[in-house]
This record gives sequence, C-alpha cells and structure tokens, in this order.
Amino acid sequence: MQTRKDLMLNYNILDRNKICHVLNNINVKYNCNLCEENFLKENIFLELSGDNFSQVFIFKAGEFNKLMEVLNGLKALRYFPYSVGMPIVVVHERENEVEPLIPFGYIMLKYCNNIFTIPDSKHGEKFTYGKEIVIVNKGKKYLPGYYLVVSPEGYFLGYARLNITRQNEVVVIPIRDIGWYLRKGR
Amino acid sequence: MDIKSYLNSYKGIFEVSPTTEARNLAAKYGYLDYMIERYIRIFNEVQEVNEFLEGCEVPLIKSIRCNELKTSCNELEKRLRMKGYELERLEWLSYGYKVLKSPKKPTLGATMEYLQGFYHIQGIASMIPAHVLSPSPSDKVLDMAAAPGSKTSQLAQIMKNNGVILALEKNRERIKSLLSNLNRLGVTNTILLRADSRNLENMKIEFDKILLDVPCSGEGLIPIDKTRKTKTSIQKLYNFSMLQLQLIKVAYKLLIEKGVLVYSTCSIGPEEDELVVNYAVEELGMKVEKIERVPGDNALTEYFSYKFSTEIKNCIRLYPHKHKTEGFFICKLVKI
Repeated sequence: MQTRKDLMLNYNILDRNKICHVLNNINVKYNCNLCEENFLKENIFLELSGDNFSQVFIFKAGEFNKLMEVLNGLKALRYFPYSVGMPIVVVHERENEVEPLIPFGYIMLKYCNNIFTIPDSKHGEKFTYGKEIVIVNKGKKYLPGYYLVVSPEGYFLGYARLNITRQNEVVVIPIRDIGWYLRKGR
Repeated sequence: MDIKSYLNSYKGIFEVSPTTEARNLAAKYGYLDYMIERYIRIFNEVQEVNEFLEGCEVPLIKSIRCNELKTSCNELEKRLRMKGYELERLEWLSYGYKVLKSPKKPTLGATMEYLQGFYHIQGIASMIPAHVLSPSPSDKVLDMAAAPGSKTSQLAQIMKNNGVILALEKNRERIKSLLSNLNRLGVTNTILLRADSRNLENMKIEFDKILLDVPCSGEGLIPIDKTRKTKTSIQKLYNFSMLQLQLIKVAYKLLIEKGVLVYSTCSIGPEEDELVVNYAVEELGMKVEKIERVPGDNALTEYFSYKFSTEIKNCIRLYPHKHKTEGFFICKLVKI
C-alpha cells in the first residue's frame, strides 16, 4: 500500500471559477490569460491534495468518462492516484503561493505575454544548467518581472525572474528549467 | 490449478545440475553454473551457447525512440545530425533509430533535444511490446509495471495522447523517475498509481489492452549490466516465476473479453517466459496470437523434459548474438 509521505488524500474536479482563481496568481505574474475559453473547454482540471500542498493536473476533457471510470474503480479499492494526466501547478497552501510546473510551460507559451527569448544557444544551455545568465540587450525592451524563457527557436526552457541593470543588461535568474530532468528527474 | 500446484508440476525446471561443460563455461565467462546449464538446454548446442556468451560480452548498439508527441522524426533526425549524430531508422518501426555514431559531447542523455522530450533512450527490443500491443486512441490501457516509463510513453505516443492509460509502479523512487519521464515526453493521458498490481485483482473495471512487462531477473540485460551474470540464484528465479504467474493471473482478470495482453520480460529464462505464458494458455484458456513483422526467434515449446503448449512458438525471443538487442521475450495473448 502507499505510505503516508507521498499519499494523495483526495482529489477534486475544479470548476471554471475555482481553476481561474488558482491560475490568477500566474496570470498576474506572467501576464497571461489562462482563463481563455478554449483552454478551459479542452481540459478537465483535477486537484490532488496531500497534507500541506496540492497539485493541479489537466486531462483531455474528451476522455472524461474513461478517466472517471478508472478513478472511481481505484477509489472503490481505497486507492488515490499519484498523478493524473499532466501536472500544471503546485499550490503551497501555507504561503498561499501557486507555482507553475515545467510541463505547463509549453502550454503557457500560448497564453502568456511575458516571454523572454534567449538570443543564442550557448546562453540557452547555461540557463538549463540552472545558472543565472546576463544578456546584453540590443533589441526588445524588457521590464523586470517573471518570464517564460524560450530558446532562439522558440522552445520552452524554463521560468525565470528578469532584472534589468542600468547598462540595460538583462539578468535572467532561473526559477525552474528543463535541465531539472537531468539534475533531479532520474 | 492454483499457481503453486502449477509450479510444482514443473519443479524439475528449478532443479538444475550443471554438467562439467557448463561449469567450465561458467568459470570462463563469470556466470553462475546453473545459468549456463540452462543455456545449453535453451540452445541445444554448445556452439550456439558460445556464440551467445560471446555476444553478451559485446556492448549493444545505442538506440532511441523519436517522440512524435513532441516533434516530427524528420526534424529530430536533422537536429541530431547537426550535432554529429548518425542515425539509422529501424526497418520495422518508423520512429525507432539505431545510433550509429555519437559525438563526444553532448551525450545522448544531455542534449537539448533530450531535455525537450524529442526522444527517449530505449533499447531496440524494448520498443517491441508497446508496438505489438498497438492500443487505439479510444482504448483503456493498463500498464502493470511501468517504471521507468519507456513503454508507457510509447503507448501514449501510439494513442496520440488519447484514451486512458493506468500505469502502476510500486517503488517510491522508481515512480518519481517514471513521472519525470512522462512529463518530459509530454504524456498527458496517463494516471499513475503507486501500488502493487496484484492488489488490483478485485478492481471492478476491465481494460481493452494490458501491457505486462514483468519484474524479472534481467538475464537479458547482461550485455549492459555484467552483475546480472551472478545476481539471480535458482531460488530467486523461482520467486520471480511465482510473482509473474500471480501478475498474469491478475492481468487476465482485468482484461475485457477479446482484449489483448502483451507479456514481456528482459529475460531469456524459460522459467520467466514460456512457463508463465503456458499457464495463461493451459490454465486460463488464453490464446497466443502470432507476432509478425518484428525481429525475433520462435519461443520454446520444450525445455528440459517438459513440453509447453505448441501455440507458444508464436511468442518471440530476442538474443544479443542474433538480433543485436538485449535478450527479450514477448508474447501476445488474447482473452477468449
């Protein structure tokens, strides 16, 4: 049987109001519109709760019946899933903080405006080592804040906080990056 | 017949007396004596046993599976070629590749394309079970021993992230790496459960397709992991057989009528392969369906003095010395 430490105790399906409330924090931080109609319509939002935190997952809305059949079958055996579909955010209840997870970044690119493109692959690689990078900004002006970071080809690399120096350099401070899969994910 | 009685009726398989020839070969190649005696029985000729043992000394060619959930295979080929990789597409699987040449850096597990989830490093033989199961996008699929997720993510790829996969893994550490792989590879149709599959026996739902890639001795992985030459005693092998029989029985229960079960192991031990599938055929009444258009030899229908159901020849075995893959066993079974 599952042991206590990583046991999910319950799951809820979040309605539109609830999921928009959860995502609002990210909308503000990353300048997004995650309550966009298509995104809400295409997905089921499930919240899996543990002792001190919860995670929200998305699953294709078109598979709702099959999903519920399996979840109910597990529930009857007193089993709760470890994960369902794609994890998008973790909610830290004590800090009242919502953090986007790496898989969500690929979706957020569609709905968010704070996107920082790293101009060359060398800096991109350094960023995926979890290292801070400094870019001499020659083009678009950026404001300090939270950004989705993408490679020169537009591929999602991670989340970062941007600071702008007096010399107009962009300091990219990683929050979560895809290099996590190498460093921690195995 | 219950599982214990079934195993008892084949107990001679687990009473191996190594010959001098087997002992000599075991000493030469560093194996347990009983393992070599079994290889002599499997191959029926010492010449091939030698070829097999020599084959296990040679490192396997690296291989990757292009992940069409995240990219097109042409795009992946192009990008890896630019980094100095030379790939060759498998004849029987449009998204499977041998890696013929690699640059010193970056290694296969550290490229930007790997991190993006454009491919997964996966053994050639290990790409066969999900390919043979071939679930449709509307199926409900059960993956009974899923970590590290190579086959689960391949199933999701075949289903184009539609339908539902229930994937189980009982080990806490292994389920973390499973989740990490599924996330990296963009899998969205899978429910992960940390549990022993045997505990699902009384679940009230049935699945259209089941993949049972059982925990096993890993005797087929010797070319990759030399510790497997001495890791599994005959008693441990018996315990694996017992576990595998229990799992196949649960799989049968959870499978819909006419549903398909693919049973696979990374072992060439008939105790973990034909003996288990024979139980599904003779005791559970399942039917073996012939596996075609993938590499592999026919499975065994005789081992020591025991005869298995003749249908079992339609399952396949892969060997390092013949197929240049990890040692593997795959069987496609239908519930009738």
